[in-house]
Amino acid sequence: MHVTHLKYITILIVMGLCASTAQAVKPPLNRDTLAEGRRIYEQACAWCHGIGGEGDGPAGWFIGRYSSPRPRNFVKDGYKLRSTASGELPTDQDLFKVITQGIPGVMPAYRSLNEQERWQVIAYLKSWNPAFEEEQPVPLTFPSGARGPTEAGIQNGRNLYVKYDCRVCHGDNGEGDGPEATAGHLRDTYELPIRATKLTDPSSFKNGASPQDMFRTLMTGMDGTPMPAYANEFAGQEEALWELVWYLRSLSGHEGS
Amino acid sequence: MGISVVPPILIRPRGELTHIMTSPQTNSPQRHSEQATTSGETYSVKSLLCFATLLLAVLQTTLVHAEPPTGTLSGRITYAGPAVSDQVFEVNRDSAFCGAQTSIRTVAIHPKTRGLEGAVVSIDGDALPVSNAAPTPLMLTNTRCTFSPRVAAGIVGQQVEIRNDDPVMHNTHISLGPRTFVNVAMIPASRPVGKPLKQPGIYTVKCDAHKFMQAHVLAFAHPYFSVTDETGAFRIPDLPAGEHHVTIWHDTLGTIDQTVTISAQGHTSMTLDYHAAARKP
Amino acid sequence: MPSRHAAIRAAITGLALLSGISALSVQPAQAIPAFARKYTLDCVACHTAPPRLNTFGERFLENGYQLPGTEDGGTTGKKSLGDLNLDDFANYTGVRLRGNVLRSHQFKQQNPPVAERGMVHNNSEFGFPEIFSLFTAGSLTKNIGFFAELESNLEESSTGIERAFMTFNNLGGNNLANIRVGRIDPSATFSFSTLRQQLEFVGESVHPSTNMVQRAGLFPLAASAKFYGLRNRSGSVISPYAPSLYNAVAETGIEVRGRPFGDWFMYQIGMLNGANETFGDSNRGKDVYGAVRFDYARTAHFSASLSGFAYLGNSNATVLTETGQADVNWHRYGIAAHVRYKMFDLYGMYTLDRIAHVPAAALASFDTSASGLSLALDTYVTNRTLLSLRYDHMDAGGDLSQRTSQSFAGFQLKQYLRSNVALFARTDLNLRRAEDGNAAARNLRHALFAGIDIAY
Repeated sequence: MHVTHLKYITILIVMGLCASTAQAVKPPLNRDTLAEGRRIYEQACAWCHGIGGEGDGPAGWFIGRYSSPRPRNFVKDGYKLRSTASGELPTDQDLFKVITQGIPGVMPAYRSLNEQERWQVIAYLKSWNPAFEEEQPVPLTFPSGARGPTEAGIQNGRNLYVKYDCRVCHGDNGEGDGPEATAGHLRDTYELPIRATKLTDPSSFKNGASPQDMFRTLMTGMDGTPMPAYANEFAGQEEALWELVWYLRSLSGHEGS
Repeated sequence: MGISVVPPILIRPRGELTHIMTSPQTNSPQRHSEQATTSGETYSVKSLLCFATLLLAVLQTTLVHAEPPTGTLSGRITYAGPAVSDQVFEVNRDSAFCGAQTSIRTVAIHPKTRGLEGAVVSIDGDALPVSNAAPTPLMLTNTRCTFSPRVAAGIVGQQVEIRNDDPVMHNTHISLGPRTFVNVAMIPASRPVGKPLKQPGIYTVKCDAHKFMQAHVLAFAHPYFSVTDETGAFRIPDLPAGEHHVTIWHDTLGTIDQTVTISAQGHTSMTLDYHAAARKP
Repeated sequence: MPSRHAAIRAAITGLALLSGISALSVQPAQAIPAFARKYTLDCVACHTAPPRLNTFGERFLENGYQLPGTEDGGTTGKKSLGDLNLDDFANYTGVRLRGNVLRSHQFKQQNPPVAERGMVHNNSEFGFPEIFSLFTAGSLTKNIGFFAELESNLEESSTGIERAFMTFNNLGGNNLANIRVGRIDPSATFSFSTLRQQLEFVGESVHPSTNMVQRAGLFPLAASAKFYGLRNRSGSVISPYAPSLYNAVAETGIEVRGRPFGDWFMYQIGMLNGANETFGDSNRGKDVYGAVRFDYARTAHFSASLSGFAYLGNSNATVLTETGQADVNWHRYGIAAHVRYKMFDLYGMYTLDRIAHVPAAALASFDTSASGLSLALDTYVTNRTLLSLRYDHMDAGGDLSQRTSQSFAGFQLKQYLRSNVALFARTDLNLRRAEDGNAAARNLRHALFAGIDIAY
């Protein structure tokens, strides 16, 4: 009898704790959250992203200077780093990931802000774009690469790399020196020159360098850049796309998964 | 059946009121039975009142339940100005298939009618009723290293379907301002990619693989638009009668605004020449 | 003896080499200095072009080398090992190697009497990068930072600690009060920071026995001493070109600084041991200074600031009289502004120095006031090419028989092969007429430099 009571009480306490921590992690969307988000944003983010969120902060121009990238314009841009389909907005989790991990070379990692502060900033920066209220971004779901890299798989990945014209921008060996890149034809949505990622240097990947990250980037594409989404091409053939991922990993010397 | 005593305020449209009042079959039996007339020569005040009320009721029901009068705007957009030469581009990729050079005709004039192809005529339709008919998908095809059609128009909610009929890879990139609408790789004979238009505006269609390819898709929140065909003709049916603001858009010649009055139950014709009209690029 | 023509030819060859080298394919930087390593960022996240800071870099510096808006001194880049909170060594250590590969000076009067034989005549020489700096900076823990810079001037064969200080940040609240204590550069957070110049300091040449300047130095003259015949308390002559007082490169003291009302206003008050004093000198009085700064930095790729300071010296210099050295109070007041818009970085400062308590006997031959003006503009001409201009003017004071005003204009093109490797070519022109006479400030007509600037 006592044990059962204890069990129920424990469950209630644990649930209560979970509920309270869950609440502390992602705050509700209200005026207080937005006010806090604004305070953090104006001290940490506005230097590059601008007071009005238009990506025109006083330090923002120097990051790319005459070329891409420029800080994100939260008012009207699409988003480059997402887990959603081409042309869709990112999920809250996508935004959280970018703020937490930063973007190598251009944006610092804000792990030092606690989780609640990061969610508050996200709520604030979303408030500039009315599309967040109208659209419900849904992340793409993919199967995990059940089979790891194999010799034949990597060879097939190489064939796909050629078939899908990846080499035209990323180069024959993934050095970012494909003919379109060296000719200076690559432009972002603002007509700024943009570089093709050097696939031999995973530490420079803006959307993450793990196999799952690379798979996701191929599926979602990078909106605002010449990098398209391949989700439609590989629908129903995810294993083939995994082979392309293993090939790309091999370009930077990763033999295993 | 309730009969409202206060008659609705009638806004008479410019056109004729072509609907005639119907027979008084909707009158209330109670009132009617109270009016016991005599041999028929004199009408009492009560019966007059009764008749007036019946008249009002009939008017109200017929007017409220009848369709608002609509008309059609049709006509031709022409261009009588100096010829605009084709834009010629060097082809730096897949020139074996696309040719060493390609030329794009942005101002396409019909030799006989002087009609301008690919102009979009639209009504300022935000206040107008919208039908719920689900339109067929808007096809956008990569063919012979061009987009076909070069200018298309659709309604919010309509699916845009992208295809590739060429044996080379295309990378169709559609944007609304700085925001990407869709950016997909299309290998030869790939399955079509569909996406519904969610916002009104002017979408630019580009190919990241072939920089000279360009098209536009105009999306509207209402169905009152039409793209001129190769003779320059356009047609917008089911327009509520009255005065409307019309916009004619062309990707090279610019935008023109006009006011036009639509007559109900008929065709209103409009001819406009780009060269002659005031221009707003 | 290399002629003027040869010097110009050499400079043109240097520039041609420069443009040739830059045509090689550019690789993204593989090795990046301390803060860039710690935060995985390119230099241009914080710098317009090193060493100048953009607005984000300024706020990072003010926050004690913590990300602006955060207090991440105890977390970012750190490993917890027991109760130790340690960074990787590379996360707080950086090296800078810079200097002139080629130098050329042209004078009006060759070998004037004031100069040592052979020191002042048209010459061109090849050298090697002459300044090697090792710096270590970062955060110890939350809101406690540190900075130390060891500089070795290979040409002058001198090595020493330049700046070395600790910071204590966000005391009493967010950006209410930040303390720096140690050997600091007081103008670090001013609208015109002495150390952050694109046209680097070029040392003057002084006669070893007479202490007369024989070749003018090229410095931000508004920051320089500007007085001839002024000495420090141990009797050594203070060069008119030495960055001094509020604009000193490194002075021992303590300062408090903050933005209590928001980003738009900053206050700064500090106290130093005294101008040009050796470390640990006994005090006859401390110098105090105060500064205010107003900022606009919000949007449209635009930021601007306006600052003013007052530096009150307390027996911080001496003048030589018949009876010996007499203590004087050397004060300075200055106003500076900066404007940054997209590729343009414009900054300038005007200073006014006054010396008080000069003995009556010495007053007759001593001008007690001096002023200086420095205006600079940097602009990115391409993503990797930086064009810099600076105008310097000194209205000198001090010994009436020696003081000579000076105006120079400098032009520099710097080509960044990577964010941390740059080649530069520079020329400085004397804007004043050469006078007959020995004045070094008028004798140097034209100087040419080409060199390398590397950080890793």
